[in-house]
Amino acid sequence: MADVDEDAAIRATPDPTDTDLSDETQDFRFLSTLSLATDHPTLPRRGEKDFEHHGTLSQNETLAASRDAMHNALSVPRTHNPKNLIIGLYDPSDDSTIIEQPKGPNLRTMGKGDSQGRLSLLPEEALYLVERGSLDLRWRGEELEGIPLSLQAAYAYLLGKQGLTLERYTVYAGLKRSGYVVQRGPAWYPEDYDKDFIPPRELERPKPLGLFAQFYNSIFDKPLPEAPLSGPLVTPGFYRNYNSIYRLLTLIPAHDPCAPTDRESLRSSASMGHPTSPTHLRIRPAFYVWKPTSDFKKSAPPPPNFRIAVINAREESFPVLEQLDDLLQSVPYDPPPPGSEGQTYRRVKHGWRNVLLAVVDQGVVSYMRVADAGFGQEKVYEKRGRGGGGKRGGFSGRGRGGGRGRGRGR
Amino acid sequence: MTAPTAPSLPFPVFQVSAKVVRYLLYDINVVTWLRKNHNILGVLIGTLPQIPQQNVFLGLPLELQPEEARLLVEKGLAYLMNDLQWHEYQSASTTAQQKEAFKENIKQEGARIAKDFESNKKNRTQKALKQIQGKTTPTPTQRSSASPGPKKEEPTLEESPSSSVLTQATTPTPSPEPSQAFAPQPKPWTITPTTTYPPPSPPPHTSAPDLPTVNPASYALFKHLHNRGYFLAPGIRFGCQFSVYPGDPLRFHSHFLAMGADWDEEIDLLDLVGGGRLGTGVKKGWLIGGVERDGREGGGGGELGEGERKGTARVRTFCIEWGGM
Repeated sequence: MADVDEDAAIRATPDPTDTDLSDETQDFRFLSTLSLATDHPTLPRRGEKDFEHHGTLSQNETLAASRDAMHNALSVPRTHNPKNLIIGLYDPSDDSTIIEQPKGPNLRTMGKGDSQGRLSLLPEEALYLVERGSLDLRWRGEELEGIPLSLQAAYAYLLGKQGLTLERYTVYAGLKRSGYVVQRGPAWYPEDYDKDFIPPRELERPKPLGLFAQFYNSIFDKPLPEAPLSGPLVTPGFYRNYNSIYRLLTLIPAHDPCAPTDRESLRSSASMGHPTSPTHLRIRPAFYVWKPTSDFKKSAPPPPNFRIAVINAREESFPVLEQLDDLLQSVPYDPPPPGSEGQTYRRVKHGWRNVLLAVVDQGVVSYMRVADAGFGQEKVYEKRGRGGGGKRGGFSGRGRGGGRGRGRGR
Repeated sequence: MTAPTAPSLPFPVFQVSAKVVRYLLYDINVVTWLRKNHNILGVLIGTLPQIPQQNVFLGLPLELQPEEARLLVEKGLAYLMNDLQWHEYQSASTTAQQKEAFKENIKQEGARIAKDFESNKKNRTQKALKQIQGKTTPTPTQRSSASPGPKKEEPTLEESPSSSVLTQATTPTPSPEPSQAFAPQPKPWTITPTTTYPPPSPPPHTSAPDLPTVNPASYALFKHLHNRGYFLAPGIRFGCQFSVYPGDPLRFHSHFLAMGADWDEEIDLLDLVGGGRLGTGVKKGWLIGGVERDGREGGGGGELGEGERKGTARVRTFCIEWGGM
């Protein structure tokens, strides 16, 4: 029976509002609908495509028109109105890009200012600004004074500098085009990989219980001694509730995402790598990303909304457990949000630490989220117990967020 | 807008530098020509300057898959060029005179764009005014409320340069205004060219050209399908090596999700089920293919092997679909 459901799900046509337009090659003829409405740019509707050639003139003409539109769109040169011209100076001898007179909204979240009001840009920032036509990048130095770098020259000189790979740039530019605020993460500075290791949580143990609850627990829910090495798991005795019995039955140790990890063993296993894995490079987030709405200050950035590590789909394989563990331990502890108690599925999905992986295949990026899920943290029996006994509802002391059964798997 | 012109062959495929082994194209004519005549797509990775804040339509440069770059070099259509090295050589060998000429050239072009922009603006203002006048006989209050309209069309940082160029391209050159003679000459705009001038010249014919390194299993499949007129794009969106299109993806949906494999390679049954199910779910076939190894030379190996280097090597492909019984 379950199979029928699944097949139906497969055959169902996807919800049109749910499709990502950038997922497929779009018809460039629709570009004009996008460019003309400058006030409220609306994305074009997904173009109707054909299944295969049917040799009609109409089909050939449509294709030719699409190609012409594409050709024209791609031929538009990057020009700068002197009114709002921003000039950058690139010095190939030390790979620095400096803007003498920074202005405009783009630069608010980019670069690093100095005491003379100049702004120095990282290579990805400079390349992105050149590419979007917002920066007139010129050579520094007397003999080349005033000569602009072409887009091609900017790619040739800026890629490969200061750790900038094309994959990282592709991710950076894609995020910037979507409007995010993006800053470099630790991946660019391998020597500091261990420096700002965030100690695992000391932050948040369960809230201290109220007086009454403490008293209550001291009578009915006191911790039991370790199970004996032989004999029945649940030793004969006096049990006031099921929780203490279930606790005794917990034989298999579960991963505790809050427990401090053994840094030394982690480091050695990460650097030795998996014996069968071809690469055993250590991974770190390459970008810290903020949502566009946030009040971002370059000098004092708030904690980022996302941390993104970049992986090349062609040259690296998916990170092995040691790499993922090493990576997750390097990002701050981000427990399930308060108020989600009882919603097991949501909590497990959110995890206790998380990071996004951007997998790049030849300029196409796929994002996936990896989280340290705390299954061992979600004590299903506690919820059951609470719901069952009407009178003893409030004894556990932790918030009773969701109703019973809300958090079940599906 | 210029009509696409055929590039002079062989054309350069730019490898960014010795450190960054990626293959990029910057010349729009090459990109259009390859798409039309050689079924080579690549991936546009650049930001479109006219609409930078979106990810649906992207612009130059075009990143070629290593398989595509290799095919072009093997066919003798293209040659590899280390871009950084070439630029360094170029900037060292250009004379001061050439630089001056280049600067002058850019300045003139910029002046032309500025002039077009100004006259365009004037045209638009007049048009807008005419429209307002045509609609209603303007009362004084209406006029004052209407006048800010055209002013709004003053350039904002992003849109103005590009949109002016767009419109300039589609409308014939505006007739000179009588008042233009008295108007002050607008300040020339500056330009960021897409390609570096002058273009490189192909290297003298040496023994063997540099070839991009590729995975032999997937390259054999790539070549096989490409020879049969298919268009191949990177397959990561569907978890395969290539998405295979029956024609230009501008017009057609892809038919297959292709995976290259070695002939004797063990294939995980779970991959097969996963790929087959996913492919069927998105109305495509999951295709696996590789070079058949020896042992079967008698069995008419020649009929399919025209593109392969060895006469004995032929690629066989299998398409897997989910039965859904």
